Amino acid sequence: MVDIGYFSLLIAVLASGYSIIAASVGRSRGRAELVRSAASAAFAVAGLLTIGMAVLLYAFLTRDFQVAYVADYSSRNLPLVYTVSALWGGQEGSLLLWAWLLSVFTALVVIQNRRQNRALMPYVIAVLMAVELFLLLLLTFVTPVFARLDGVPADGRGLNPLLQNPGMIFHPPILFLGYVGFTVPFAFAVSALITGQLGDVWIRSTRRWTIFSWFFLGLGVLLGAQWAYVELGWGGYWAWDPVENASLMPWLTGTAYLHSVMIQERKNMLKVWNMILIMLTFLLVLFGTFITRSGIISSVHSFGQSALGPFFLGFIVVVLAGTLILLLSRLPLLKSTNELDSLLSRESSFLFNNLILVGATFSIFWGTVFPIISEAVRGVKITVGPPFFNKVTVPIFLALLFLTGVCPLIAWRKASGRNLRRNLLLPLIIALLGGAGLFAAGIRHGYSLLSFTLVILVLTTIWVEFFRGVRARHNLMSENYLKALGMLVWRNKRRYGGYIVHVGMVLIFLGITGSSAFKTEKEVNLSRGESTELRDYTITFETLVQYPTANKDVTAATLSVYRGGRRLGSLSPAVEKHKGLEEQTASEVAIRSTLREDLYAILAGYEPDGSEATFKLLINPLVAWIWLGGLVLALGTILVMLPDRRERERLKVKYAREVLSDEVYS
Amino acid sequence: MKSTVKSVLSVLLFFALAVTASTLNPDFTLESVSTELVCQCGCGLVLNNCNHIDCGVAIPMRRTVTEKLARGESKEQILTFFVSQYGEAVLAAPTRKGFNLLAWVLPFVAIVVGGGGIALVIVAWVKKRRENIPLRKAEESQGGGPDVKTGDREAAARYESILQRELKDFK
Repeated sequence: MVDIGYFSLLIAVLASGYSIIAASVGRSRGRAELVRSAASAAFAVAGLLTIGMAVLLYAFLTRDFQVAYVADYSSRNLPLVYTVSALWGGQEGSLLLWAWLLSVFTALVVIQNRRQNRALMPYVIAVLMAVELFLLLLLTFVTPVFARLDGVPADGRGLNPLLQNPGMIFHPPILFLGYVGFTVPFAFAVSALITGQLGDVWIRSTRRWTIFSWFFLGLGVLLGAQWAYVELGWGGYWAWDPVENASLMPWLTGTAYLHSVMIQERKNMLKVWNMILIMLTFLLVLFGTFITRSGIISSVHSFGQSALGPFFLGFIVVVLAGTLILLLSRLPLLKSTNELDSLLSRESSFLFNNLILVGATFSIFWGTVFPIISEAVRGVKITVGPPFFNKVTVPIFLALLFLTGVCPLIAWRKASGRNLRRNLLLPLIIALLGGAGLFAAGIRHGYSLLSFTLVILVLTTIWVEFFRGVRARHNLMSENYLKALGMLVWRNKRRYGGYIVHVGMVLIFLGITGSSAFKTEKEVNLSRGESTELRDYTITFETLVQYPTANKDVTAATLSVYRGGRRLGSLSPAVEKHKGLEEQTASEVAIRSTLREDLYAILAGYEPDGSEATFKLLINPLVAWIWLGGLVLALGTILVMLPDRRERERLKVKYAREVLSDEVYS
Repeated sequence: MKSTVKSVLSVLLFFALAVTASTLNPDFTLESVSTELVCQCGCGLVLNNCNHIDCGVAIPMRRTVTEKLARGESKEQILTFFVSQYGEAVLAAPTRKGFNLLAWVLPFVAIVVGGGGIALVIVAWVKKRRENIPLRKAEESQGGGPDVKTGDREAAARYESILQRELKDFK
């Protein structure tokens, strides 16, 4: 059975190699049948990788411990869901998941573009298949996923208990959807450079792919944060771990790209910049993978020492050099009539938004690689951790929040100061009043005060935008307010969907500010029956029970929570000792979550007889708003991605021209 | 335009003051010191966050911090002590001197330089636009002309944009 998987990957290597050659030769010699066969080969790769995935899954489900990977990441007592998720629990399996997703995306791109982009598609296929080939070569020759052990061990080594959490089921695949998705716009960008078709067709054709990837990358990061928050040993929802940083960076450049392409769509400007942004995004995806898999920077995510580091580094160098050469050679064609009507315009505000986003990316990148630089230059190992990133990025992100509030108020082409003042005056007054109110309520932490004030500013500006649109429709079309709101959003999905995405981001900012600046924490040793005070909570240690389950020994404490003499409920933080070849311990936190704050309890230590235990107790204000913000973000993104009839009509005209120029190749 | 800049600047100034006022708070607790240190057990987390049950490193390290705080040692003294024990890597953030200063300064230098560059580029592009459309340039220099009412100009701009859009669709 395993042989089927192994050979399907081998054949996929050949098929993807063939696809690259056929697509390129077919395009350059104008032979449509070769391009068509390249597309077929891409479908074959998707099919073969699907078989590979199915075989690995089968090996996991049948506990085929002769497969080294299965033996390394699962065991007989591992529950079914985690047996399935163990598929991406390690180096090789997660690489296979990546390769599989990429092959499926490639097939989807080919299907989507059957009748369009005939000039671009051959090289799009070639680029996608080149990335695929790289992954497949790793999977077959460097870290073979189907490698077999000489003997069959009686049991596997089991899955790391930290990974036995619902987070493991969703976080990695969703993050990968984003990581892999960005390959599609990248491939279109490269193809646009090779073919010289440098208008905005490649951007428009990949708009949904970009948003899709951006959204899933963001969602993946957020789910990772949530997982880290509920599973201990990961240091809260965000620890500025190199791998967390690595996933945030492409998301930031992706965000910059999503904004700056709007200028190219409208004004045919910034062509070079947009190319650089999407290439940077893809390179940062590779860089993130390199960091995770090379073990070069110590991280809670590392897959341990592996042979993959140099290969990824080599691939990054090749992609960087290749795209740079391509870009430089096309510079004359990318010259656009860069003109702006006014210093104060949406266009120029977008440039500053890009500056901040790329600046934030650079700061995070710089902090992430600085330990390596320090060791190379001074020979001294240093750590660049949370205190650094918080101090450096907080002002940058606050500037971003400010721009989120102000930019949408600045008109395209040319905004008058008078107009901007009129739009900004009310939100600014409300925000300042809000800020003053918070100050009066006793909030003295400067950054938080600023952050909350900016949150109010952004929310008010968005509210005003909605309100004015609704009022205009109400007056002009005599629709009632609710219908006007619905129609307004429905007919301008990109614009108002974008605002909803902004609201989501603002809520996330709100949660981050509240939980990082106003945390209350306490570590306390309690005897059974003893109580402790945490701000206005009274927490009593009731019992400590120990019981075994199929694959672990659980020690769980019960805490009663009171406030103002009223019992609010109980919390059960636990420690789980996982049985397996190596005994591993994981802490299960208990959280009582409300919109106002989370009460968070960790069992940090205990006497075996249950008479005493040590608890770490925290009050994390506003954390729930981070997850809520994620939901709003999802809502906005779906709206932005929905088909838009009016947009399609507009595009028809553009595509008609493209198809004409495509005739030559078909 | 100028007054917009002024009001934006004054708002920023207000926040700058608020931020500086809030950072003057020399409050040393176990938490504030142990978030500046990295646990040396290999977890890679700041000392405050290592939650290994009965961690053989984090618990003694935290105890040392508590004892030193009780003895009245300052945060700086405690951090210096740990550096002498474990080397510079025990600090969760680079020091702010010598080569390490580069870590702190470069992000902001990059943003300021980038911002300056963008400002120059925008000015150049606006200038190009004005040169390319002499008519508009003339209009700008006359400040719109005394005989054209603001309302008319706005209406003209609106009609122009409608015309542009329809021409575009017509193509």
